[in-house]
Amino acid sequence: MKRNTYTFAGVAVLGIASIALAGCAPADDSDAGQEQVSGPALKISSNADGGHEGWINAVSNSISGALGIPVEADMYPDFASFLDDRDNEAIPGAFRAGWQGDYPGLYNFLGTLYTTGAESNDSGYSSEEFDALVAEGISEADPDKAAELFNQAQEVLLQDLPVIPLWYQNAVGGWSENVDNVEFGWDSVPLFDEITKPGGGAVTANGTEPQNPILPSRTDEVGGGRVLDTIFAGLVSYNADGSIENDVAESITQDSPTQVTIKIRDGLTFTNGEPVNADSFIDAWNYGAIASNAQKSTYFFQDIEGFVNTADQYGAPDEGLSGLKKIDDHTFQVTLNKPASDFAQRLGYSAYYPLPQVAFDDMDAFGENPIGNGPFKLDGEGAWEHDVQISLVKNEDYDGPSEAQADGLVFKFYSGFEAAYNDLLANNLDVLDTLPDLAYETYQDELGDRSVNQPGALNQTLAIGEYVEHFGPDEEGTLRRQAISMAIDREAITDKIFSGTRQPATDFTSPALDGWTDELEGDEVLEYNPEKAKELWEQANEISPWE
Amino acid sequence: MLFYILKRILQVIPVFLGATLLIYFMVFAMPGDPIAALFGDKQPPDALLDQIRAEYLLDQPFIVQYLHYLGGIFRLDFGTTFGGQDVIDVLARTFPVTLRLAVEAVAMAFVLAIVIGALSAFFKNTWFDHTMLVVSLIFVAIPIFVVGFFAQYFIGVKLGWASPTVGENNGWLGLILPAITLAFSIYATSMRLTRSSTIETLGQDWVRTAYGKGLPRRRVIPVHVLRNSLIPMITDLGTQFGVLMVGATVTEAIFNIPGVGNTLYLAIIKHEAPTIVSFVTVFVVLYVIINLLIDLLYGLLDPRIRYVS
Repeated sequence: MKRNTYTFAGVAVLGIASIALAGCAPADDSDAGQEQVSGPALKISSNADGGHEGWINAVSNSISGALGIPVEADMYPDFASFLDDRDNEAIPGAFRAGWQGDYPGLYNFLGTLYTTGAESNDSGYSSEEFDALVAEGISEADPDKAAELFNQAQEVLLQDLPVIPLWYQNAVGGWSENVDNVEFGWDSVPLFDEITKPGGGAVTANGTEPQNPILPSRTDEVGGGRVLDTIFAGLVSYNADGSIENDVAESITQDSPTQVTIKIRDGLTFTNGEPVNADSFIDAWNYGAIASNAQKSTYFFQDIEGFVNTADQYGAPDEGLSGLKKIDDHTFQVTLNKPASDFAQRLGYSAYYPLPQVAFDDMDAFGENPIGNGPFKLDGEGAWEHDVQISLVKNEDYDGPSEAQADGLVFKFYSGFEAAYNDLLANNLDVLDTLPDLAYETYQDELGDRSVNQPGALNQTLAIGEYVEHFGPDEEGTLRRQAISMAIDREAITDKIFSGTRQPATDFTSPALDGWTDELEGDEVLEYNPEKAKELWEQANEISPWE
Repeated sequence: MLFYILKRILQVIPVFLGATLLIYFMVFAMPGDPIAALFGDKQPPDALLDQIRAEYLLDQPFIVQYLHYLGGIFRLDFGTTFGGQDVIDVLARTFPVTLRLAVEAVAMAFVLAIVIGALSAFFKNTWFDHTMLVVSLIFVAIPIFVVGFFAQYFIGVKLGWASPTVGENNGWLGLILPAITLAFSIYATSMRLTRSSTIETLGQDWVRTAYGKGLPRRRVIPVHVLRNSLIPMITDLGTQFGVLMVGATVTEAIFNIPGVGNTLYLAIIKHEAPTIVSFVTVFVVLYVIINLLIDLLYGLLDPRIRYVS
């Protein structure tokens, strides 16, 4: 029996090709209501590989039922192709959007998303009134007054609806019988330093393989970020409710909306003995900001004086940021190129961590075995077993508010949450920060009070580009957006599809943030009211019929 | 014989070139920008994206990228992942794990399939035979992820006999549960193949001759019957093994095994060309080589088969 190798190779390649081609066609999922639907379909787009199809179909049904138009889910095969059309303003309808806060401040949810020309302004929204209120808020030193200004800005958004807020995503997690004192922070991540393990040994938690070397300036995803946040300590750290407290910093004084003076505590060291001083921060921040280094966190330094933001260059020149000035070994001054009265609040984010001088000798090697100043440290060289786990032990030299209570911390990498959940049930995994969807119905019985379901700084919205026909920034567009918003039964969806692990949105930010309020004027537009929705839609049809 | 082997090995080269070109092209043609996708919702401005793209040569025309990649292969440099790791390190790390899993699964399935298949053939049409056929039908009917989740939940969580996930204990012992899951899917066809092949052999003239010569059963069965009836099994083994190497993706996902299937799947989602092309090419070549070895094994098992150049 002689087989032809070409046939085998050809068949194998053909098989792969056909699968690839089949995968490239967008899935067509028609979800029109049954009776009086007429007119062209409204499309809702997302990437098929994100597991969003369930709720998108539910939302489509809800809108279709209330407005009497066909609504379709138009899924892209993967995130890259979805992103392509989104960035090229080519999505022909509504699309899935949302925001996860970098730090627990209102400005992060409003300024970065809805001001004219902002980086993450995907719908193309522009409003002078909104921009003015936000600018005033970010220059206001009194946090309560600032919050009031930001909320007034939100009332503008509620009228225009550049995106339609859907719900807030809760932190839903659980832990095993082996650990105690598990609390989740504002960012839906467990506060690892507080967890105790009465039986001794390392606490095991779920993680994913870091996609980059573990460096403050190069980590932009959860896998690496999780590790980074436990082995480094920044100028400030965040409490569970989102408020800040000084960690490495002795004091952070906002001299003016554009100048901050930072004093560092004396006597702090990295785990290799090097001191933590002004240079540790200035050198690390410059490394992240310099354009030619092409680091992923360059974006976080763009408000500092000296940062160049043009079409040709994005970042600081090679000499570094002129806005970072060293006053003495433990003091430095930051000058900003635009007002940011919440700058102190941002400094807990990982991009602002310090680095020891040894890092600059070989940044890539350092990223493989990073040396930090946080409550935990890597358990020797090779503690990062790729695709398997990363082992940390308590850093005895740490001196700060987040001292580790357990002997160590091991992040086991999982590619899916179902496997992690089974490990949790078998007490093979101590802390799981995200329960899989299929556990929503049963986790309360299986885990009892070893679980948590609390609001996180993460929301989900439906964005509609200003460039989409019938949805422009005019009266017709606004009426249609309001109609759609009132046609979505958020309560029913969060209850039935998410089993209460989401909370219907009443604004554009999140209850986990300081300054959040659920008493904004005009938030009735986010409540389910199918009759009013139909009425508004008909009014829009009078201006320009839906066809 | 030597010429034959040489000729087959030389045939690997055009297969290799064709496979790499085709797959590289397919990844290249996928819509969407992998670099922008890395940043998720927080898009940096174009200047930064352009710089990262230039690093990965993604701004060059297709043929330049492909030739650069090919040149790298000859220096055993399979490219870098978006995370900065060498693809060859990723391959070296994940390959042994999936290899162990495949070997264990195939071993378990085949030993059982050969024993049961042969016995079914000897006791053809008895209750034993019928029962075994029905059981194999059931095994084939249950989808692999059902078996996997079931095994994970009942044996891993409820009974606690094994760990629900594999993770760091991905040695021979830790992979037993997923290997059993995989074995379910290959056992059925192999067992039926053995059974029908053995039945056919049992009816051959030379078996009757052997018995006629007075040879005892304990000599006829292993030497004359099994040796011949197992030849189709060897082909099956090669095919199943090759399929398992890449096709264990579902099992790897369920049990959290850091193997090839898992890594390849994640790379495809990210449109990470160096990883995808390297992994797939290695497996195409491996598949071809395994088939060559099996063809040669034929000659050992069955002296009637000779390779003429």
